[in-house]
Amino acid sequence: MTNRPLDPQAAVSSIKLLIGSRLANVRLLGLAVHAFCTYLNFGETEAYQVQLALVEAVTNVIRYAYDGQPGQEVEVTVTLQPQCLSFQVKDTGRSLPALKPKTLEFDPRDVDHLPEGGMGLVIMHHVMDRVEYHRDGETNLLKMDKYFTPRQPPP
Amino acid sequence: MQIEDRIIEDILVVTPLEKRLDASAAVDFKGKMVDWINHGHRRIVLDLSLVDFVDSSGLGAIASCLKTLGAGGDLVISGIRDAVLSLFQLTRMNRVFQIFPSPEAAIKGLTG
Repeated sequence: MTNRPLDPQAAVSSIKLLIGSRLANVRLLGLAVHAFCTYLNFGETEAYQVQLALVEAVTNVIRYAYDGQPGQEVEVTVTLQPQCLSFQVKDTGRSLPALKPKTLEFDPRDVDHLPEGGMGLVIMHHVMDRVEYHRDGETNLLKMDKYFTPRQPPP
Repeated sequence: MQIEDRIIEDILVVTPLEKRLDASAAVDFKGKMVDWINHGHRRIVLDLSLVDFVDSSGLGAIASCLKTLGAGGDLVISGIRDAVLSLFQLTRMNRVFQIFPSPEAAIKGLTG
């Protein structure tokens, strides 16, 4: 569902993407975001990391806000401003604890205590320039911004 | 998740044949890896040359496999793409796993 064409020259362009709350659907969002990043001439690693931040956010929604239950919806609005790529992730699941930046503290030599989870938030805060979460009525809203320097778009 | 496996010099080399090791693939991946570990494979090369996306769930599954191997086992990475390597770096997992450019280099590293 496109509101406006994705045009880097335009002041604001946005697109809404909607998936059902199944982990298998998250890759569709990831692939779409990677395509946006490629269109914006992001480097391969940066495009991967921005995709990763969104994938982590939506995976958290499905796992924790919806407790892994299918049949719910996750709505992602991707907004392109001249120097900022923004995501708004919307769900109607249970509210989550405040998304505070975390650091990964572990001893790389202590294999028995390596983290297997809890890395998603770290990744989101590391990759994105701004991460905000709040609840509005029955809706959870996660907003993430990534600033960039515009480059010549492809023809 | 489809994973190709082969044994070279008593070392198990596993190559995921799918492009994404994410939350929807991590459980299956981990299950197959644990099966191999439980069948006695102690030295494993995980060849990620065909994988272009790993998320924290996939990374957590890889870490879990290393923990399952325990003392005396080894799990090393080969063929990782630069973008995916950036995930290992930002989570500091590049300090946990030995990373080699190819399965052949990994085997040499494990047997040398």
